[in-house]
Amino acid sequence: MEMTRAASRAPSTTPAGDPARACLWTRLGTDLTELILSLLPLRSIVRAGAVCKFWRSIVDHPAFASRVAATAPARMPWFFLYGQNNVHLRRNQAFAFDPAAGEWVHLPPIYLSEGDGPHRHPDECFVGSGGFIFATSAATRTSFCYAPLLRGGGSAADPWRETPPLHFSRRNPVVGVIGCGGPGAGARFIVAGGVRLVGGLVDIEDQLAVEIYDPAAPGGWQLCPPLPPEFRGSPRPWSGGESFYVFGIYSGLLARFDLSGRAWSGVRTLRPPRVSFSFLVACGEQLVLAGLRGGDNPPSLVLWRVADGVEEGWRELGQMPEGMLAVMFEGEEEERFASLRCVGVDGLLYVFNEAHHRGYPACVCEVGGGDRCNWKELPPLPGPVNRFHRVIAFCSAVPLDSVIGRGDGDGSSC
Amino acid sequence: MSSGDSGPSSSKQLVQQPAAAGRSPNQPPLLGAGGRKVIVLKSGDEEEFEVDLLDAMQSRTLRRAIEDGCGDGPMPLPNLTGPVLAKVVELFRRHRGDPRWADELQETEKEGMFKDYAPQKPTAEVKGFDREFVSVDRDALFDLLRAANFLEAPGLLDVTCDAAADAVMNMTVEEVREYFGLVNDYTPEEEAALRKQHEWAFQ
Repeated sequence: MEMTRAASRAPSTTPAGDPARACLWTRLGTDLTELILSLLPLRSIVRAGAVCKFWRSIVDHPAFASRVAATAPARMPWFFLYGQNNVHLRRNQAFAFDPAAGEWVHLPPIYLSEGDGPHRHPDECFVGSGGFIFATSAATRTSFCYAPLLRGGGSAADPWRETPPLHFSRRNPVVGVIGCGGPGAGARFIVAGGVRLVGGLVDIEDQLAVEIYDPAAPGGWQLCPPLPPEFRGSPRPWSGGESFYVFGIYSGLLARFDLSGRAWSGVRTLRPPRVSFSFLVACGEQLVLAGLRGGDNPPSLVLWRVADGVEEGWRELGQMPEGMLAVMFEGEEEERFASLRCVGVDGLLYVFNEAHHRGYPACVCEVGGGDRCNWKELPPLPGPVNRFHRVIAFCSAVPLDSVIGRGDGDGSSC
Repeated sequence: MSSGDSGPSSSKQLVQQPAAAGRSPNQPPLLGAGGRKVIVLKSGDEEEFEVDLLDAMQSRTLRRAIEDGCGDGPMPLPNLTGPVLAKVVELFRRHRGDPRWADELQETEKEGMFKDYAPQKPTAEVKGFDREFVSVDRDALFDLLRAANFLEAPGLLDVTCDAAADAVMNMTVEEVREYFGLVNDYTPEEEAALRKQHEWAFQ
């Protein structure tokens, strides 16, 4: 929209308005300018950098990124939704919701193997966490790549970095960032589980391997103790938080990885009565379980706070308003909830329907102190929205310095 | 905006008060009606405003001046006009006890001067006042921003900067330049490259 508007205007290189007004802003001073710009949502900050060179020098400065990072809205995790079409890759679409601005943005879809030609492999898997997006591509061999969020697509200079090969190549592993909340000091990537392919067949023996990589240090992936054996064959583990957790959405199996001790601990089962499947989300220091509880009529999506280190310890926080759930999942049959997914981190929990139904509707719940749950429907995706074969969704804060500044797209040092 | 009209009349009353107090430089700041300590601020266009001393302390600039003993006579603020100062004084009065700045005030408290100044959560009324306060045109908002910056008043700065950020937030790059009277010093190639690099932000 903006582009057409720009095109229809005269070139804007002439001074705007009368000379008296042209100096208004400079009279506000650098401090005031910086203060005002730091209050903007991320997208507006990026746009501010295109206003003039002076503004760009402000928003590109590392001190400005630190200032923005200190504000509460900047830490709110975004919701990313990548729609994949297995046949017509042109129909892939990507969206991100910025909770601070309350709006969706269109992202360029990710084509990892662009350099390899127009026919991209549809089996690429990617996931985002801790300010990064990770991709495993299995076209010929399994490679593991990463890029700062919002830089990993489109026509921008290639921001992707490839790590040395994993000891155990695998597809669709659980990927997490530990050590810090984003591109910054001490961020390390951890990969657990996933499927190893041997000659095109799934190797069930090595599904439990765990490896850690430090992007700031030379050297490759380090092998860690494997996942506890209980996780063998467990469908789709889930991760999140400052610590690294692995959780089986159907089994309810939970394990925690301790970075300093390099060990797995606290294996236990979180399965409140009548819950058919559930998701685990880290909210600050605590874990919140979101599960679909049958037996209620209609079924309800319930949140529990998980007590740390206590067997069978969980306490109900609340549930999604019945009407909201009914709008997202129309119909009567229980199977309609099979496409319900939750992602979340840092006190925000996004619930969405990954089936093509009224354009992939989503809700967000803010889990605050004092066990307050504040539910809101997200606005619809900016249309038109295609029909996807697969939806990849995740949740991560987007640090400003991973988007602009430095310009090296590395994001691994700070 | 129109509250500036009430400035001159209120200042007339207070002109009599300091005279009645007959103060010497060593006395504490002068007392207003009801025994509260007040000071007088004088705008660049010679309007005088009586301000509760504790309210004036919301401004670090004024606080420094008061602590340096400049609060006895009318305090000249040559770069603020009467209408702007009238608005600012009104905001200080409404923000009395606002935690946005009262915490800082507590730290610098001397001799229990601010003990009746316990921080309060901003009420719905204060929030409503803040909204109304910045419902002004661009030039007036910029005047208030500059005043906030000069006075170093956190509450005033919060309210005005939030308003400026709200105004800019959904503007296109061209509209932002227009609003702030900024000149585009990028070459068309440079600007196109920037937009391409962050395509998602410019849709």
